[in-house]
Amino acid sequence: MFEISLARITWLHRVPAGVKLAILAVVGAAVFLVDDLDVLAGFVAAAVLLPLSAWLPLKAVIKQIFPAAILVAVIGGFHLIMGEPETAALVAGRLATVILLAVVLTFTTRVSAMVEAIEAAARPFRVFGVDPAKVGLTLSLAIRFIPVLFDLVGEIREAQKARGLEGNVFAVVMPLLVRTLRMADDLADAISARGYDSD
Amino acid sequence: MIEFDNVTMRYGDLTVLDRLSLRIPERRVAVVGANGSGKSTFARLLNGLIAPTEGTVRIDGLSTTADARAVRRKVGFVFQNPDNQIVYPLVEEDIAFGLKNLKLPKAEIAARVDAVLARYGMEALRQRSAHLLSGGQKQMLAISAVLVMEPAYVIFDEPTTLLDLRNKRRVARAIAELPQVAVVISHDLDFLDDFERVLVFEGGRIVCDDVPAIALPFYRDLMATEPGADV
Repeated sequence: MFEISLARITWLHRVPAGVKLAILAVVGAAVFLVDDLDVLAGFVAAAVLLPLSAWLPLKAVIKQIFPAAILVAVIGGFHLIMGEPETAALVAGRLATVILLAVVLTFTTRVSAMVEAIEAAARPFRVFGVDPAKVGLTLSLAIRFIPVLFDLVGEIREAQKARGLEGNVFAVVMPLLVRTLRMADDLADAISARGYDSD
Repeated sequence: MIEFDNVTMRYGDLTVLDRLSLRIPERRVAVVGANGSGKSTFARLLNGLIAPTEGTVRIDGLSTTADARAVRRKVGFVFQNPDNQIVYPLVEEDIAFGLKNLKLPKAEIAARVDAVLARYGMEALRQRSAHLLSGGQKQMLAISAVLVMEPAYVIFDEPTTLLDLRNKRRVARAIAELPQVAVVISHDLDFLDDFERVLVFEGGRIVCDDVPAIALPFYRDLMATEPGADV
């Protein structure tokens, strides 16, 4: 996740992070306002053509999209079963567009560049008490710790399975909570130790 | 020089360090002790992560309480679990984090990151996701991320505990080659033989303060006794 593809620097890599984020935000909002299937098909086609036009490694792109594609298929399938084929197509098309654009963004943009762009976008909100540096740090930590937390859940589930507590949600949630809080404590210390000043 | 002057650390009713006074002019100092003996608290006091309940801790004359920011620039800290200290998803971005906090120019940040990656043979990993590194690689990343800030002192809190033998040796070699003052808290006695001084902690006090040839056998004997038994 968020492993930027640098096998070949493409035109997408050269587009500034702020521009890519803005396009994602605008298109992400726009597709949810579109009710016309033909127009939505145009958005989907553009989202598919984008990684192809930059010759991004298809295998890696598909690998990243796969879990989300299953979710899209389930949601779309649900609407089909409910006898709403048009809704199924709309929901699947909207989600597919946003997911594809998000994957292209993560494949072609450094996290630090995204953080800098978001910090820049947050600067005007200083007058409302928003600290751009804190917004940037929060974002980078969220991205960094998603896979760490997934690993933690897997580790705890395995341990509880070994104790015969398979399927016991409480037995997973409690240690997860304790370890996450402990990890957050250590992380706060580590960030301070590396010279981060929250003031 | 590191100076502890009558330092006591309490958490509620629990006294973790009890009236500790010492000076550390040496370049290689090891800290050993049982779990809960106060050694990690000792380490955290060194760069002002925590403030003493009583007494003062000084680094080159700077108080870790009054001059905390300056002390943190001087004293780097490597934690036991690298997963809890890597902030950015990519290797080179994480190494640059501390330098950005120092508000260094971009060119200097890039040069320092390049230098530290080259020094530890990690150039090939610079674009890798930190999450996908091995345990040893993560620990080397954590160490690099601290050393790139060029601290005068580096504190290692059990840096080899989660590593296999090969990576333990790699980390031990990296510590041995450091030009900085290194204070290493460790349960791995094997790589402490070449240190100049070993502090043995027990119940919040230093019960032995000597060269490894004396302090390490003392510690081994201490650990061979049951808790509460007369030493």
